[in-house]
Amino acid sequence: MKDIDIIKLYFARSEKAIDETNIKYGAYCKCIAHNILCNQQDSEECVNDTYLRAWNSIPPKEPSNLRTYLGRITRGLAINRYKLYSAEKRGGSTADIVFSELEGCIPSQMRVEDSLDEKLLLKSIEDFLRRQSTEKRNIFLRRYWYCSSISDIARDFSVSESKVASILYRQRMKLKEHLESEELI
Amino acid sequence: MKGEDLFNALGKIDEKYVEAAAPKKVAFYRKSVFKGAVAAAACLCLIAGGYSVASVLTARDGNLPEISYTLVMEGMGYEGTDELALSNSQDINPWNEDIKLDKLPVYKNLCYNEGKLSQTYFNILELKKQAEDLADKLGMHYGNTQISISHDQEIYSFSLETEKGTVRAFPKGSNITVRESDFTLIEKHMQSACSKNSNSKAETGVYNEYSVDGELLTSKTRTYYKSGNITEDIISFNMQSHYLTESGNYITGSSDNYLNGSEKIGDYPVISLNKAKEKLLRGEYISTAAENYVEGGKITEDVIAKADLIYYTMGNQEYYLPYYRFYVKSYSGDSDFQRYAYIYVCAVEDEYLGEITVFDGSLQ
Repeated sequence: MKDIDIIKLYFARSEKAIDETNIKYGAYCKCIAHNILCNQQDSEECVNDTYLRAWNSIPPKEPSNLRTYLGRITRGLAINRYKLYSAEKRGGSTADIVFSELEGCIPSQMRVEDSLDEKLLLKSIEDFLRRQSTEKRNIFLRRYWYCSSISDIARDFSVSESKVASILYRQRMKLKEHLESEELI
Repeated sequence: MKGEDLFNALGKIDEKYVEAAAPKKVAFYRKSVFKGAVAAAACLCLIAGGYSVASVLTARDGNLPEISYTLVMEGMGYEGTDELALSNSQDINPWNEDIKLDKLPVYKNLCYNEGKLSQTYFNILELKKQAEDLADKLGMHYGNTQISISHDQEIYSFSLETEKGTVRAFPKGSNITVRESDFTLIEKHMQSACSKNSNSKAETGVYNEYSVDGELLTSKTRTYYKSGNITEDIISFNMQSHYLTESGNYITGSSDNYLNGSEKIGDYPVISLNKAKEKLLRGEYISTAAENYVEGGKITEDVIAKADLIYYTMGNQEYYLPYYRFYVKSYSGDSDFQRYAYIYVCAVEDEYLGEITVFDGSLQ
């Protein structure tokens, strides 16, 4: 079913909207959740919460890109659940490693307690992404938006794992340099 | 700001970027390491045999990638040392046989250049910047540097001439050569290059090399910063040591930094020294030792003089892994002093190792 027709079901308050969303985007949302949570049951609960959020927000929202809209919700819910597990010391996941990798992008002059204007930071990150080649940008976002493993990225882009690691390292260094040059503090 | 904040900010980027990067094939739910029935049967056998289940059945960590590689060992002759060097050197390796370790980090060397002697990764402009940054930090002044880049040129170092001496940047470290009178620059270089925190203390030892006649050939001072955490100290010693060598009126201070252009791929379970020794005696080891290096051609317990734990960082390696290095009595030729060959057994547990070059114990 096309996205526009699924959204029409939401607007009509038909529960078929959830079924159709699950058919078309269930696997996509589960992938995002599992990359972060590494647990089947938690991932399924997270995806169910995603559908509930979608149901409660459409309408009035009318997403132009339903897949990304749902993916964003799932990502946010999965991270919140992951933080809860971290607080309860229930063990780490790929998120631990991804956060640790992104620490390397923080400008040297920033301290942990420093905060930034979110809009400025977002604009700066998008400026950075815009300047990268398509392949490098996609690899970067597969890792730091989708939390995909190095091996999954290597398989999907038909490159070696060492090349993926190399690209990610360089991209993180470039992002750091970019944020430092923007004087965001 | 923390890494998590950056992660959250990334979550709000324009959807066109997110959409373009979306996975085409969806893979989720990793296979379980344990297959329940097999694990249960194994438990029963082990209990019946009097073994502790916990000590034998270990869950392989699915987050740790399998490591396949060839350990590249170059140079003339075989790697080793002799009794004179051993008795006249101050070994400052933080590891000793009483230390029990569960895990150690493994690093992927992003500078690995397959099939070549030299390592490349940073281009010449990046190496030039590293050299300039170091010179600036040390207050060593340099003029404008004109360089030309050839596309097929292998770049593995950049040298900068300053009024006080030479500054060189490598993918895996740096060195400076200055006059004896400028020794404070050497200390400054060491303090800036070596990893340390406010609790770290410098640990220094001297390593000597001798000729077959017992003449002192080189004397190298080695320093690393010790924090008191054994894993950190092992990494600091092996990956970020500082060396001093003197030649005439000049001193060269070299700082290794094998963490530069490397990425940690995980903390891997390691085997004990005893298990490594068992593997060695079964012939499962790596060595550059020549034919007939051991009398009878087979290593036995009585020819093993000592062992230590190191990270093999020499030359162009794809990974930096921990190894147990055994000192095995070997043929000494014309030397008046007993020689020892270095024999290596990888410290990482076998189940995390894929294809690895292993010397099978037979004579070359």
